[in-house]
Amino acid sequence: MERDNRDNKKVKIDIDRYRCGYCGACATVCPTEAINLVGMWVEIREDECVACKACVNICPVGALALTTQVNL
Amino acid sequence: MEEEEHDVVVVGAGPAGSMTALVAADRGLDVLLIDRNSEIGVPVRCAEGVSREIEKFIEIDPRCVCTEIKGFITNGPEGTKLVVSASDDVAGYVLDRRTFDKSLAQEAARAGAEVRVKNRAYGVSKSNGRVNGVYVNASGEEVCISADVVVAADGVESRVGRWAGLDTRLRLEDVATCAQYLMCDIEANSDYCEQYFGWEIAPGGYAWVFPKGEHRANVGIGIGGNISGEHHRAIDFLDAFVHEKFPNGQIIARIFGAVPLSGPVYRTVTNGLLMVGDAARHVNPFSGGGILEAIQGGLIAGDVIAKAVREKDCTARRLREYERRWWREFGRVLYAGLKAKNYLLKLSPQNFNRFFRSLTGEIKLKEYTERALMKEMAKKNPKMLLSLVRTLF
Repeated sequence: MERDNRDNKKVKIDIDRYRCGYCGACATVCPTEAINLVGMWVEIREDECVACKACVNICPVGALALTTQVNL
Repeated sequence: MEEEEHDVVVVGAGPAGSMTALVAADRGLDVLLIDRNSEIGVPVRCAEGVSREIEKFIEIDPRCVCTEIKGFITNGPEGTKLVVSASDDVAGYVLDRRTFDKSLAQEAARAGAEVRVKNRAYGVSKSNGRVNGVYVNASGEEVCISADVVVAADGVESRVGRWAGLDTRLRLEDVATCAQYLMCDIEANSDYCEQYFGWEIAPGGYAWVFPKGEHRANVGIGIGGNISGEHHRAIDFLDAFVHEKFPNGQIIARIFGAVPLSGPVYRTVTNGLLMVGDAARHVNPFSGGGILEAIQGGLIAGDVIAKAVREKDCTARRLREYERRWWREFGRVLYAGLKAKNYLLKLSPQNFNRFFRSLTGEIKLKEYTERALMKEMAKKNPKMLLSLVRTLF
C-alpha cells in the first residue's frame, strides 16, 4: 500500500478551501493519518499519503482532488 | 516541554467526554477535560434528535431543548408512512447541541474537572507498554500531560485510541457522509421527526427533517461512504431533496460531517486508556444516532475509572469492566442495529421498496426507544425479524 511517495511518484492532494466545510470526513477515513482537521483548518501531509482516494470520494462537498505526478 | 500530572485526562468535550469527566470528578478524581476547538459545542455536526430515554440518565436543561417531539415518521420510497409515537405524547427532543455540549462541560467543571479549550492532543505517551499521558498543543504551547487514565473521546476521527494501538479504522462502507442545512421559513411537521428512505433520495442512507421550532428544521441527508463520489455527493442529494421539498426555504446554516456506522469497536480499552462515544463507534448503525450511547458510555466509563484509579490498577484487565458493561447496556442493541442496516442494504431495489410497503400505519409505544422502534419494524417484516431475533430479543 505505502508505495506512491516511496518510489518516484509524487502525490498531491489539492483542497479547495473555499468549498471545504471543515467536517473532518476526509480525516475520518484516511488510513494513514495523512489528513488532520485542526480547528477550522485541514492539514495535509502528503508524504504520508498512499493515494487511496478515500478522502476524495467521501468528501460531502467535493473539496478534495488527488493528482499523481511521475518524476523521471 | 512543560509537564503536568492529573489522575485522568479526557480528550474531547462532547457529550461522551464531558459525562466521563463529570462522573470521575464527582468521585473525587483530579480530572482535566480538553477540547481542540475554541468553543465547546461548535462546530455542530449532528441532526440533534434524541429519544426521551436520555432522561433516565441525565436531567436536560430546558434551555438545551429546541423542541419536544411526539414521535417519528418513516417515509418509504413509494410514499408509505409509518408513524410511531409515544403514548404520553413526548417521544424525544431536538436539542441545541451548542448549548447542550456546553452545559455538560459546565456540569463537569462544577463537579471539579478542569476544562481547557483550544487544546489539541497530537500523541500519546507510553512507558512499559502502557499509555501514561497525552501530548497536547495548548494554543501554541506544547505540554506533556501525564495521567493514570487517558479517555479517548475525540469523536468520529478517533485518533487517540489509534495512537494507543486500538483499531478504529473505518471502511468507506462503514461511514455515512452527511450534509445538513438548518432551514427557516419552511412548512415542516413541527411535532414529528421525519426520515425519508429511497435509493434515489439517499443511496445507502436516508434523508431527515427534524423540527427545531419557530418554522425551522434540520434538513439533512446521509449517504453510504462507498457510494459517495464525484457528482453524487451528499450535498448534491441534499440540494435535490431541498429543491423538491422546501423550494422556498432559506438556509441559515450549512453543516457537514461523517457518522461511523460500523457498530461498536471490539476493543475499547487498553492499558491506561479507554474510548467513549463516536471514537468507540458507539452509534446505532440503523439510525445514526449516538447522543444517548455517548451519555450512557460516559457514565459507565467515569464509574470504572473512579474505581480503577482508587485501586491503583488502570490496566486493560481492570478497565475491561467498562467493556462488559457497555456491551450489556447498549452494545447488543447497536449490534442489532448493524444487522438491521446490513439487512436493508443487501435488499434488491424491489425488495427494498417492498420492505417499506409493509411500514404503514400508526403505532403508539408505551415507551419510545430506538430498540422498541427497531422491534416494531422487525415485527412487520418477518425476514428481518429472523435476522435480528438472536441479538435484539
